[in-house]
Amino acid sequence: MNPNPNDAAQRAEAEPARYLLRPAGRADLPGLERIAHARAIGINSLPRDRAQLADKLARSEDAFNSDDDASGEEIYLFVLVDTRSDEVLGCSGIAASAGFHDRFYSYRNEFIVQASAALGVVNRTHILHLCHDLTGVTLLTSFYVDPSLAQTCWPQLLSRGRLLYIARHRGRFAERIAAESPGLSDESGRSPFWDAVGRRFFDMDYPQAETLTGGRSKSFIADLMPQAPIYVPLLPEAAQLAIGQLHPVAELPFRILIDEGFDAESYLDIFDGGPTVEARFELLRSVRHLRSLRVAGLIEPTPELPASLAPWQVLANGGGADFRATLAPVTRSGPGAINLAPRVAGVLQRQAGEQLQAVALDAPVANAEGLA
Amino acid sequence: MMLARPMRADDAAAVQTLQQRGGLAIPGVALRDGHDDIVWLVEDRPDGRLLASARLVAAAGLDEPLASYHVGCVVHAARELQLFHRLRTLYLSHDHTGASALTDVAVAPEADATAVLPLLARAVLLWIAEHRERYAPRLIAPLPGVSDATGTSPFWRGLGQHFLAADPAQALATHGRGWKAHASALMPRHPLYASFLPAAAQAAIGQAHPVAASLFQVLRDEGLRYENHIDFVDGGPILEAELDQLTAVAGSRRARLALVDTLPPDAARHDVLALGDSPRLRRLDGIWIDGRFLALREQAQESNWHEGLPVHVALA
Repeated sequence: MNPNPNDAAQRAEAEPARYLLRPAGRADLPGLERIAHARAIGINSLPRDRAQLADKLARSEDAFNSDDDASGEEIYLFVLVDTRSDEVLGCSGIAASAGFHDRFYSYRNEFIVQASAALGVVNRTHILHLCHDLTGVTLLTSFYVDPSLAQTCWPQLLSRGRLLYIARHRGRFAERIAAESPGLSDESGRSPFWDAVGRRFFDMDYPQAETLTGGRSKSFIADLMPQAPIYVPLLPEAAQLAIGQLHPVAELPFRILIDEGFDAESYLDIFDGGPTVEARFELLRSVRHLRSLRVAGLIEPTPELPASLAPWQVLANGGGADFRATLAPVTRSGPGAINLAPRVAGVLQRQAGEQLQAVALDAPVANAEGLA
Repeated sequence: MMLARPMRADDAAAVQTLQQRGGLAIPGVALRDGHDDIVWLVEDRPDGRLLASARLVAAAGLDEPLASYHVGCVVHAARELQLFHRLRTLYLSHDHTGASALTDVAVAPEADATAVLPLLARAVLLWIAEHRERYAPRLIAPLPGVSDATGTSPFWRGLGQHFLAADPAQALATHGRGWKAHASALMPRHPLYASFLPAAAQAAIGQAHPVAASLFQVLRDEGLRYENHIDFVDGGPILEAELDQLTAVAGSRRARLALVDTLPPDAARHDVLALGDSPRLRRLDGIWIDGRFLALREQAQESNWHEGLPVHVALA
């Protein structure tokens, strides 16, 4: 699809630093409330209850403002804001340590090979092994983007901006990083994987189990689940097919993570069978290619150097509550130095001579199809 | 009159025919032959017609693995959710390694199983009692599991088939009786939750095939019990017992045969295993007194049993 100049989203997309990623604060409650209610059943990691959401925002604000040593309990919520209207158009989050108060359960994909030379048979059997491997890893959470921006490059900012924040505060996060994705379920929240596995141990639908367990950690549920590995060939076909399958709403954030170098083959959500991606933080693409650059000058793109031809970057500045990130093209002015458009520098609150963090966007900017 | 005796070489063809006509196991489920196996037969006298047979294995699972599922129980509970689940588990085990085994039971279709099988069981148990040191502390007796209208086992179809895509009867024909030990190497080694199996497979756990109803009853009467082990192929129950706790073993006695013309009034029906060169078991009226077993001369002579013959007897 070619960019359509009459399409507001396309124009916005082509505009450097149109959207800003920044820490969410208590003042973002109305915007996040709208997002919480826009999300589909079963994939909601933002509470819909106003008081709970406010509490979460308060916790996040405290985490961003804290200078103390990290306890691991912190959650960080970011919002994607339209720099023109201040409207909240997306959010994303980080949980410093998965299962902080308790164990964090996953299924690990394993394969057992059994052979009988006498019978001429070699069997490779897929099993799901309940494990706590991901306990304590840092979790990427709460990804949501307004549908009007889904086909643009801005979801990249929403997802990858978090990595730049972690890179800035290495000591507050784990060496390994993971992200859960919702698995297959229908409109009513019914999941074929849950029906074949969890339901046998709960006698109830997953949404019902979620409601019953209330705010308790998922490990409460997991204590009821079978501890022995599950032999996949013994599951009904629909459940087998759901293993590692994404809910369609998760495709966009999932693809961004896969492009980052996350591994999607090893772990599953124990309830709906959705893939839980995982990686060593230092090996992620955005982290490996992250550079610290000096702003040499504030220069408007010239006709000889149009913004649309210059390489777009994920740009971030500041730490703690002052963190800000956006997407914009930069032009090189010398070793380790770049020129920024004044407006972009304004959004990032940078002056000439100051440093910022940058990593190439590497995703087509003007092509509406292009997030792959 | 019926009589039980060990199989001779010239019985081979007749035993094979009997196994085909009246074998109680689904083909392919039986234990493999061992070195010290004795096949016991029940025959009708005087015509010598074969009525039943069974194999007594001295020690099973020593040459190759003898696998079965142990049916266990785990409880998953969450008081806050008012959930209390008792779940059956299946764990592939070799718990019966070294046990003695009674297997390959066959009964002629025209024979009365309720009359023939007690004699067969007694022959085996008195033989063990007489030769106690040759046999293990524990005796197992696998019973055939249920099969559906097509003759296939729902337990195998719901479980084993996923790990070995073969029909047990076909596998037996292709690979011989050792196929089962090889097949067990392909079965799941982690505990299984029975609730993951199809309903028909779950229902087959520990259920004996109706053809084995009489055998089940006879072995129960002898004191064997289902102790939560099943055949890993068809899910049939494995009955078992500590041999020394069985009445036929603990309550049986050695004696010398004493032939009399009149029995005392407190004489009773006994199972009498005559020892010597050609062991035989039959039911006789008699009484054990001070190491002698008094039996009627007339009845004993039907079997050419003579005064002073060493016997092993138990109340019938």
